[in-house]
Amino acid sequence: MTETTKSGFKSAAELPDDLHSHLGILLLSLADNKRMLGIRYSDWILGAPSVEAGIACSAMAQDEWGHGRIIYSMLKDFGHDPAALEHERTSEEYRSSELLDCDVSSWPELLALNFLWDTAISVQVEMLLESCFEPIHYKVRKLLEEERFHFDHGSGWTSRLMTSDEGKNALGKAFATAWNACLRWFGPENDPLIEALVEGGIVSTNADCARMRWLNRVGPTVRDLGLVYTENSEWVSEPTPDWNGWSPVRRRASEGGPDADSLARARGDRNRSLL
Amino acid sequence: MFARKQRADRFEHVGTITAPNRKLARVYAWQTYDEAKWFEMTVAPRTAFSAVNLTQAPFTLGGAPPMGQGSVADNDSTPGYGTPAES
Repeated sequence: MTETTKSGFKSAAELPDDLHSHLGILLLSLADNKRMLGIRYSDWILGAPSVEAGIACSAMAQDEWGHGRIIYSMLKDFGHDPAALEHERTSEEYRSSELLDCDVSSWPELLALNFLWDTAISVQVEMLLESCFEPIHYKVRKLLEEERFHFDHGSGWTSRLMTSDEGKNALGKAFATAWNACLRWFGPENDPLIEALVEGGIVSTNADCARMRWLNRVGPTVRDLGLVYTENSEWVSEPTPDWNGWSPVRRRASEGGPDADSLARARGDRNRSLL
Repeated sequence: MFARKQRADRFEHVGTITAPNRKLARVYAWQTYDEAKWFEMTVAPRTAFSAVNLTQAPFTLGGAPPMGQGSVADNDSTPGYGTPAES
């Protein structure tokens, strides 16, 4: 196992109470986002612009569900019952983004989830690569290996649509709608949860640095949409984050949650009635 | 696409995909042809290939001749060396 500069925690039981609580909040948010993003990808297995794009959505859906399952199982050590998390929660108890609450109606909106939101989640996961919480190391590496294809898919399609005025307009609207949720996902500048996790060596950088990393990752591809500009070789967001309605525990808009259909699918309600 | 399961294996042609650019070609190749745990896969556009010995090689021109127009061999005017197809 890689040496870390701080003492490593070999299990969740070794974490101090505040880190245990904060990391549990972050992991649940990551797991719920991956589960719901998988469902959004699966909505487009049929109806994508090409057969290959549909196959890609299928692969990405399976990847996200697998990642979600891995993280849900870790949450057992954080006082949760994984089965209850996956099958018994109400919509308001989900910690996934408001962007994922219901189906999207167009391919550009799906690309907003694929290129902007999926990348935002991956950047947050990267913050765990050198975590003092050792059980997460191998899991994070494997997960990020699969995410590189998600990024290439989103980037490839975004670039493709940017070559036409119609595509660019559609992307501009879809990406502008998703932009604020992505910006604030990383937390406000002095987010106490992220600050505590940085101090404890659990995540590697603070909210602003993570947000900057995301902007540097997506900026070059979306530069003609009016959402970013460059300053001192860094990509900067034109709009500033709007924190109205932000829930620091749910890591999303405080109101709402997955719609009834999405909830039933996430929980497997229709099938579980047969068991 | 061409792929091999182990370093010592030859690269074999495993299939084709349609993609609007190189980045998506790589994604589609890897996600579509996942029937094996490939050691290595590579993908190239059809236009990268040049026919060597057939003037109307299906692989380099974009596919089999239309139904009812005979085999490639029937369409060859000069068996053996001929003018390579444009890539």
